[in-house]
Amino acid sequence: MASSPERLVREGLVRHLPKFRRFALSLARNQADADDLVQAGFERALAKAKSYNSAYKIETWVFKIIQNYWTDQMRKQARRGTTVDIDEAHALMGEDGRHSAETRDLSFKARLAIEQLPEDHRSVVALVLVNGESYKDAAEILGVPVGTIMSRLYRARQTLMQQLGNDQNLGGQA
Amino acid sequence: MTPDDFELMAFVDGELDAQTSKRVAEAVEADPALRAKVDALIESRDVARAAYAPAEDAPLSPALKEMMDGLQADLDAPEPVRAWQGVSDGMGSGAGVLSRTRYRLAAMTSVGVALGAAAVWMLFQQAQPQSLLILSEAGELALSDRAQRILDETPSGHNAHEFSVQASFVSENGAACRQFEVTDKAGIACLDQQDWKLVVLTDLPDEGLYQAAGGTDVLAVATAELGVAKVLTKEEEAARIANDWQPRID
Repeated sequence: MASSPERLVREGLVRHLPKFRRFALSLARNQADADDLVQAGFERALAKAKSYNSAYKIETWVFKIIQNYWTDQMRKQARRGTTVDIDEAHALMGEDGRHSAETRDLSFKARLAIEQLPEDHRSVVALVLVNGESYKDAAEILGVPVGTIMSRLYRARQTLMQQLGNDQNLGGQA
Repeated sequence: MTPDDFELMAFVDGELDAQTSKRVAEAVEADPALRAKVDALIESRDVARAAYAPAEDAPLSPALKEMMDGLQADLDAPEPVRAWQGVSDGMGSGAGVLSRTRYRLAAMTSVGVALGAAAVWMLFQQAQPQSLLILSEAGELALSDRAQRILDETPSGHNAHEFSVQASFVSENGAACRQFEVTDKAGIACLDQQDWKLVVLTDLPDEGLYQAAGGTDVLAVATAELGVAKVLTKEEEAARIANDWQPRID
């Protein structure tokens, strides 16, 4: 007997938690709000788990739920400014043993640059660049054509590299 | 024909089919301006990924932790062993073989068939007593009977315990091949006579960690070298599973 949809959803939430947190963080911009967003998204996913069709990737299904919840929330409240928790900023800059000082600095600037992107560009960056989703899956999650994903992604990359002072090679016609 | 910006970006992101990817790779190789653009596209991906890597270490909020503990407890409850039935349509257009961004063809190197001996040995050890790999008397690694059964029976997009099959395709020499993931490894096995032969097995990239573009994409390189004559649709794959993967014309 195959696993129930509910079990598949539970497995997917546990297995891909880091991906969902990264995606939520790119939307919410600070970890506390991101975890609240993940939790709210998971609650909705569990509530509708019976309707999950295992023909579709669980990540795509949950990303879409999180994205939709976020969009609903944003409609209900005024947009907030760009914020980074001071604790997080410290963590970004701190010694983590993984990156050189130069890379940490670059990562911090990149994070700030991404957080200043328009939200529709930020979602695409979070899905494709940060989480490695395919263009097709990103299009499905965000409800736009693949061509729109590519257009947003290229422009976001141009902006990102511009912010990092290295845009001379991406200034093409796209 | 010179690839445009979108095509270069799709190339970097592993979104092109093998043939187009090869054409773009050749154009990039021959044109320093294109190479610089590709490098910038790769850098934009890598810095974006690295920017969110520190978040991996952030502790969960108490409420989320409580929820995850509850989910894990549910999952730890015993469940009957599953027997896969029916057909998966999870492959969609069947683009899973080459379009997965984690296996980029951006930096093609001639790696050929690759087996990380240490990685394989760890997998061999971890999977005991129900090993997925066996070591022949001649010292060669092969897929165990259990792994053979899983590859025979599991539709793409499904998990069979720690083993999940990603996609099925026919190589240029006509062999049926399956791309799979098991624990933190990914690999490809192709059917030779009645047996699935291990073609490549490699470590999956750590989620969220900085990944340098380069010669580590052994799975993509191995796939490109096998050549993908045809990605099986869900119906074609289901037919092959039902027919014990006997040769047939799809």
